[in-house]
Amino acid sequence: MVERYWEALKGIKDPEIPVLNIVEMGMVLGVEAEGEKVRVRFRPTFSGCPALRLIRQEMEKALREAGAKEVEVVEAKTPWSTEDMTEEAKAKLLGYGVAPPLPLPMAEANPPCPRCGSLQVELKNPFGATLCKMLFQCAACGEVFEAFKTV
Amino acid sequence: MLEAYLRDALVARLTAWADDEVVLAQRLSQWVGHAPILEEDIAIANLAQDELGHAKVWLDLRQELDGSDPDRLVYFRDPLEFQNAILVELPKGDWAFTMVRQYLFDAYENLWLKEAAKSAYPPLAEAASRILKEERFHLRHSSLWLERLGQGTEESHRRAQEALDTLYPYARQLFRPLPTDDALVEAGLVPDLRALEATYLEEVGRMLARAGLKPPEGGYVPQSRREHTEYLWSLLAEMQSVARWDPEAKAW
Repeated sequence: MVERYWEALKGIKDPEIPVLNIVEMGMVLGVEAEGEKVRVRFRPTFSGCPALRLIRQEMEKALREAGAKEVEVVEAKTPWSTEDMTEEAKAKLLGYGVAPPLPLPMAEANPPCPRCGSLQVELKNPFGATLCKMLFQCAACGEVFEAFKTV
Repeated sequence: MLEAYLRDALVARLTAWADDEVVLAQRLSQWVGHAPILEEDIAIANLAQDELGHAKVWLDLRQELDGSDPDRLVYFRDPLEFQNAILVELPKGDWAFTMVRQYLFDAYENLWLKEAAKSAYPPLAEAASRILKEERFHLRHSSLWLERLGQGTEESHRRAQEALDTLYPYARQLFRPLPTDDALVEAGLVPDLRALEATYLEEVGRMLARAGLKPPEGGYVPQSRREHTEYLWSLLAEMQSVARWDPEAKAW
């Protein structure tokens, strides 16, 4: 029963990084079902993320389509971390051309270039096209790339 | 559950933090479409969005304490009730003014949030540690700019130093507590801002030296968050205009 709701949530992409879904991002902390009532414990990533409203709407829609009559989304206060992303999610990011977040103790380090793997990269701007990404340029292959912020 | 006097004091504290963020976000957003290069246009929009998100975190915490509506507080409160520091309400000025202000504010945030993450009030501790993760990137950004401006051309150095001369005393206002803060500090709920000022001046001083800039002597340090300049009025008039135009709207 709950499995079905988890599957439904896995169908929801992060609107800003459409290769990842909200479950592998680590945004869903728990799903409980009582009869046809579903409660989702949910955690936002970045505080100012403009996609939150849309994600909430999509969760509601997906769970109803999976059979829920009533949906409650509870926002958890514990801070989200990129440590909560699954390894598959990080691999998908890399395949998408975005340098995945580094392990937390390496938060201040620069990520290798997602194109050629070189560590000769230069921070261009701590802010990219979305709140969760920063902008680098690779000195080896010249590629300008985005990296997911390690938080 | 917090005792009533602590709850009221915390409501005031959260409001002051939120107001700093809201007003700064509005000033930053005035650059959108006007920043010197495309990457900075994007960065400044990100910064504004972050600060607004942080304001929402503080106002949501306030809502849990007193049931107040964050939207109404931001879009329908009169200027005299705003509790922001003067630093954030001053007009956006040139790029150097904007980046020096941002640096001074980011350094302050990174410092007190680190302490607030140890708060005895768990929702505050969690919020602070979440925001701190994001603020690190703000500081990295504005520090880069401080160095670039200070060590850049004669013109950029002159502008950065001028901005610093104006802004530095105002930054010190951030360490002036609210009259009700003492009770919160005593209960371990919020850090003692007064005690953080020396560390701040030292850290900022090191960074300024690296950028070849000199902190000014003296200057007027506002003592109360009830004090404002005329600039707050026009800023809020603009910021609140859409919401006040149609107060019944479900979304703006």
